[in-house]
Amino acid sequence: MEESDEALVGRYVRGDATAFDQLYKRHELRVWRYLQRNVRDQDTADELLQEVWFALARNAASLESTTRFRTRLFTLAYDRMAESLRTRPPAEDSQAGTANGLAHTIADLPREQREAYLLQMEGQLSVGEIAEITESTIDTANTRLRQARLKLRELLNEKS
Amino acid sequence: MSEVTSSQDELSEVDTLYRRLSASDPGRPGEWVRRKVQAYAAQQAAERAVRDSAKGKEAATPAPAAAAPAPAPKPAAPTTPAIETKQTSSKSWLIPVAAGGVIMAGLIAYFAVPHGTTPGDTTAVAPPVPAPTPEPATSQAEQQPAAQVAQAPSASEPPPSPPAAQASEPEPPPQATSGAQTPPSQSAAAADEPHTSSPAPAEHTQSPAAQAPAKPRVARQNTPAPPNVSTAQSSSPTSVRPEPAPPAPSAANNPAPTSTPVPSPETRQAAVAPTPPPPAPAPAPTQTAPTPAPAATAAPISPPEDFYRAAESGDLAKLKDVLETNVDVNALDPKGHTALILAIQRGRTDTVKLLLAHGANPNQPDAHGTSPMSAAYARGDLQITHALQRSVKK
Repeated sequence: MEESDEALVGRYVRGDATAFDQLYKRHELRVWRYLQRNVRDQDTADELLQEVWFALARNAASLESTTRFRTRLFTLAYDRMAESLRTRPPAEDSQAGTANGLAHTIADLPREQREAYLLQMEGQLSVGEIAEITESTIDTANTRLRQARLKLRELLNEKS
Repeated sequence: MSEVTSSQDELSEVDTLYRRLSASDPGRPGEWVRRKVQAYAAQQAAERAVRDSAKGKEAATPAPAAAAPAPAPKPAAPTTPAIETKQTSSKSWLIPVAAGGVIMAGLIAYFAVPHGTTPGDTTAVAPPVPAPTPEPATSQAEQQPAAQVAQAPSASEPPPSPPAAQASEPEPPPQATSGAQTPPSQSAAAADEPHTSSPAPAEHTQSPAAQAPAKPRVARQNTPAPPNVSTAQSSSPTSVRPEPAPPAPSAANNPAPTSTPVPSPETRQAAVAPTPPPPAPAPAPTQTAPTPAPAATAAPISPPEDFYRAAESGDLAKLKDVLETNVDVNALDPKGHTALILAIQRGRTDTVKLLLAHGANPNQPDAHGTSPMSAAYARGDLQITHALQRSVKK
């Protein structure tokens, strides 16, 4: 049975660096996709990914016995991403080359809908957690998610 | 009703489609990110371990230190304590905080008991030792590091000679009693003995305490006032190592918390200022190099563009020229970078040290939110990281 994120955090706090490696491997791709599909730039997503995990490593002790690790992880990712977008607006068409254009389609979603949808799909977070991270209400988060799906369906239908 | 469920199904199809497309997306994060994250995590784990062990031992040390004057058994074997102290002093380089306390306890116990007891009751201690000691004394002296020999052993050498000689000497007793009776003198002792070890422990006993409340997001750059630097320097005539030589491990949580580091170099300047006003005395070898330029009355000016290029290229001569002109070391260039961060990002260790010595703020992020510490970690440059940590501590 796979060791829980929280157990791995505990091991890392007690000095087992390999536990952190496992955590990283487990979540690396999803966090990166979340970041990259929001900022639309590979290099920026890489940098943000690094910052997120650095922050986790630094503050690992505070991760114990708080919220779920994944919630904390995506909260950090959301914060870093939002901060980055404040200083560096996303590149316009840097997704054009991606294989299936999914990221490009996602990028066409309004920002708040995109953030909520990616938090749910990549972060696998509940509506309540999404509301907490995006500092909105559950109703608002629900609405954004629904609108995001409607819009995505429309966009994907157009492209297909 | 059925419409609702059908639309729900359609929407969940969107999710399915998203997952399928997402899985076939070849985009991946750069491999360098993984390497850096792993290295950083390992470093953090190591530093945390050192901190934890230091805390544990620090918590344990007060007991022996307080009990130090009491236990009398040690003097019974006069030669071994000397060896012990040497061993522990060498350990103190490895685990400065913990070993510092142990050393002090050992030294206090060793020096205190023989001298303290000789005046009163010579019966217990004096008889066993009398004649054979002279030669071990020299061997002890050889074993001790030069600096320690100058102070501590000089006090310990007399004891070998007959008790009468001890009684005639005025110096040893006061030193011993002061060390033994007043546990609070630990700090003074720490400042005095230090030649080999104390600068480190002295700093450590402070820094872990400052770090103890370690809350992640709160910026805790409350740089501990550096009294021990000045006291150590002033009170260490025999000191071989003028530099406080801060230890690597303790500054673990100095790395700027995610977003807001804002300490003040001015506090550092103010703390150092009282001693020597002149900015760059020629003969001063290494001592506390980071004596920044004196708080000038005129407001510092923005440095020229050359300054930043020199920081990037590591042109120390040019940098020194500019730094002598009362420029604001922490000013941002047109692209929002500080000279310090530019130097860090290029791996210019000497430049970084020079800038820090001239008051560059090790906690000031640039306009892009990059802090010096995060830039150093991103580069994976330990030398620079340590230089920053040392500077933050001051």
